Amino acid sequence: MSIKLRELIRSIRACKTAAEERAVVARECALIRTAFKEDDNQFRHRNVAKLLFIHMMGYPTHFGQMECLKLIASSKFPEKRVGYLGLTQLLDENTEVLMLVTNSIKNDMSNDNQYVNGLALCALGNIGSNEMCRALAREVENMMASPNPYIRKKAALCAMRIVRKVDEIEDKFNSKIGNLLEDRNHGVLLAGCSLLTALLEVNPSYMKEFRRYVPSLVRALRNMVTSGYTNAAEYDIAGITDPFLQAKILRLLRLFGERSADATDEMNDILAQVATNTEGTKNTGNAILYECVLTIMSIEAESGLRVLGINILGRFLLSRDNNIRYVALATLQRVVNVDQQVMQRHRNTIIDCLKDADISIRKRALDVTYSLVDEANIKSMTKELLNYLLVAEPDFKEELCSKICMAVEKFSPNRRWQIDTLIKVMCLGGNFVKEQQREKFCRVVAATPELHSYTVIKLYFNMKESLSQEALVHVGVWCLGEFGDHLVSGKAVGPDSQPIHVTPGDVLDLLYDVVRKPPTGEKAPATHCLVTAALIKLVTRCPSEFEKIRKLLRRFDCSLHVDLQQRSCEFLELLGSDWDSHRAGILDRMPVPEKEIGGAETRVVGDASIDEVPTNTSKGKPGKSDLLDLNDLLDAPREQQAPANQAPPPSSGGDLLDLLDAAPAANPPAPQATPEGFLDIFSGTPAASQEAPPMVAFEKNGLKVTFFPRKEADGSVTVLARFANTLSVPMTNFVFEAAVPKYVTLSIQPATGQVLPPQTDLVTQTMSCVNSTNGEKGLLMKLRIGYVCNGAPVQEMGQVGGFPPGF
Amino acid sequence: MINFILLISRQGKTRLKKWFVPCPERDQFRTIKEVSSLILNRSPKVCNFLEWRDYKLCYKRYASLFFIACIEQNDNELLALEMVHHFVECLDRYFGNVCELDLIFNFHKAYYILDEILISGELQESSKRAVLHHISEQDPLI
Repeated sequence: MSIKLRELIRSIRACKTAAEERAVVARECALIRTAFKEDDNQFRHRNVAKLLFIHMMGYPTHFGQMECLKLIASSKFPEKRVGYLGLTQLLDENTEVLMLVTNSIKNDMSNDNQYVNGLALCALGNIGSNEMCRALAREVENMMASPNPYIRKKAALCAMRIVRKVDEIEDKFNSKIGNLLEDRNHGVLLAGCSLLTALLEVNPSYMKEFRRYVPSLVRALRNMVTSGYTNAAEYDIAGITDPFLQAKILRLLRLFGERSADATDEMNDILAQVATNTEGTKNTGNAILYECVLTIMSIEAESGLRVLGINILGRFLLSRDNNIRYVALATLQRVVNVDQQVMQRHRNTIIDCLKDADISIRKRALDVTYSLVDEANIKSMTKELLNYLLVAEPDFKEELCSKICMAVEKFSPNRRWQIDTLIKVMCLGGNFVKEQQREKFCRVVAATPELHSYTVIKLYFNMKESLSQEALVHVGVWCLGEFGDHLVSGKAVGPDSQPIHVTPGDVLDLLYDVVRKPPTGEKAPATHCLVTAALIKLVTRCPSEFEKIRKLLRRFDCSLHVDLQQRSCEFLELLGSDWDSHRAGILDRMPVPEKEIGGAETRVVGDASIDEVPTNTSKGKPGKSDLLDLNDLLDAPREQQAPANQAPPPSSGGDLLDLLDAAPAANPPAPQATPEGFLDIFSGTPAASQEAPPMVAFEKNGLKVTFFPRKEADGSVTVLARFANTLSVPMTNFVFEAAVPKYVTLSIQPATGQVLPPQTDLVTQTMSCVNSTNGEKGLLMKLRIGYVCNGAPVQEMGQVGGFPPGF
Repeated sequence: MINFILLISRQGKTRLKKWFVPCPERDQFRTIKEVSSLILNRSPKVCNFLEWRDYKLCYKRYASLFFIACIEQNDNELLALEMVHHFVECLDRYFGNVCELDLIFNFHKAYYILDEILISGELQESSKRAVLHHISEQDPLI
């Protein structure tokens, strides 16, 4: 005995537990299935209705699909109705069974009863598939011309679906549009507008053809906006006549006006009228105003109209209603390119929205804020964004970090501020800064040699405070590796102009901490890999920690992580003594990549006045002569330089590099005391120095070179070389070069002269060396001397090793 | 256009669901679960719009029911709220002070009314009087 729908619903609601409910449903489904099998005609529609209820609760009900088809074929209206409902609920356009309904729908479309027609049109409009639409397009077309507005409007919406689903069918409906748009019935007008919008979307070339309807649309809109409309009462919602139709027309006008100046002229007045006359107190009015503003902003409106639009947006922004503010921010996002000054006026309001309690509003405000950032306000905006980063939710932080980084990259006034801000971002949101951003930061730092020391100091102290932010740790470890020598050189100066004393041991301790407690446990191998790379680089920068570094690297040589194990084994090998001479070359600074760093190359480094932490930057790169291999120097083609008559003596140590590049020494001799680009640590230190007895460095063919080494107070060695010409002829084009091992830094000053007159030893040349092994390994020098004597060029080589110990 | 309309109770039970785009049943129920949890957990003070996947969800709470409409990215959210309200007013006029129980026991009638208001996600009738007129004409035929 089939129970009524009501009974079923009541019994399901009476169930106390889910299991009980499942039992009731299962029992009823079984009964229904049996009834279907027995082809019960009487209660079929009731059974399908029950089935639909069960379906809405989430239970499987596929066995009811065919029954819907049978119901649709019935001649009784209630059965048809339930059948169509079941059809739209249980099937969708991708179900194959749907095709079987096509014939029934076709018959129903030619039925006398308008409501039967309505049912069929509804079904086609909601779930019609491609084939069905194609098959029934002709019927729908005929119905669009029906005298009955009820049928006309449904047919028009059906046509809209057909146009969207089936290709190349638009022309069938073009002719009908005109009639639809002239209709008095609002439903038909609505449907006509929808159809027109769909046609324009599918085939934009129709724009020209349909533009002639713009005046009638404007007319319809004007009728509704002005008071005294005939049917106002029927369509009135919150004091506005048919807001739905108004919004639809406004949207259509937007499509027409977007690329056409003529259409725009026709609609200027009506847009102004709508914008001024619509009441913005209730949601209805605001919906219309919103649509109107969107239209004004999209078309090429005259400036007065545009100002009107922006004012409305401004009003929206200040509204207390969250919905309105959300909508305003969304619109601002779209129109931000239009009028920048006006946007800036509202900047404070937008920034306040960043702190709103509503997450949707916060997201929108962030988007708008990001579009508002430019060179002028980058600093204050970044401050706000960084404040926000402190309180943002985790899923928000990543987007926020990347937005800040992008803005900083585009607009930062100078490098120092850029690096500062990026460090701040990493401190606050370190786990959300993406790999790309970290790499970019490293590249920026590498490209700004003046700020190497500053950066590494800042990173070092930030890391000492906290090791929990992964990005900071990764970047800091890399910088320590690359520029650690700045940190431990003892020349770094802190914010209070006090010298910073960081020993190599401290640096190693910090790295040890990183190894012990990596910021993200699961990704520890990645961090450890970076640490190993930094450690091996520090071998040359902090040579005193050689053993500690080796010990630390040993920790990883049995690591389960393949990359890490490989790295540590290779680096340990590199620590072996065979590599001593090559190590410095291998472990020198990374070359700066050629890729653009966001147009910041032309940016200045920046002075200290901008930040709260003034720090002196140490200028220049450290002695590049580390690169030199003693052997390489002498292999370099020297022939180009010697015969050149006026070849200036390669006086500055930088020219030692040039030799390797085989480029002719184009550097003019630097007349000043210190050659440019060299670490000027050693200038002007007063001498509490220690003289050593002079030594003969070289003597051959009438040329005698005597060294007068002197140990300075700061540990460097100044060598005065005196060239004596014992011949009776002058030596011209005299060039003296020296090369030192990698653990020594050398700087040579220009010789006092290029010509050695006969029987004199007037010409001298001063050299300055720093032995980074602090006397562990003795000072060695290889010499290369060239001159012209008696018209013949002479080349000599020599080696000097007899320096006093401790030099 | 509106992609789907959902009516869910405060306990998360579906009272009405209508999809205007093809969506297999399994996906429909998954979506309902996702959307209900998103919306039921929102505070009453926040705005009625939510961004979800590529769409926007506009919802409004009427007594114990949440009416949810999912619209496209470039649609007017305020207007969507108005359409939902239009639907609710039609239900109200038909049932006379509609409550959730009415919609539970007469869900099929609610669907019929919805069919008179929306086709394929677009509004077909903006006059409540006309909607009710058509519905009441079809009632005696049952």
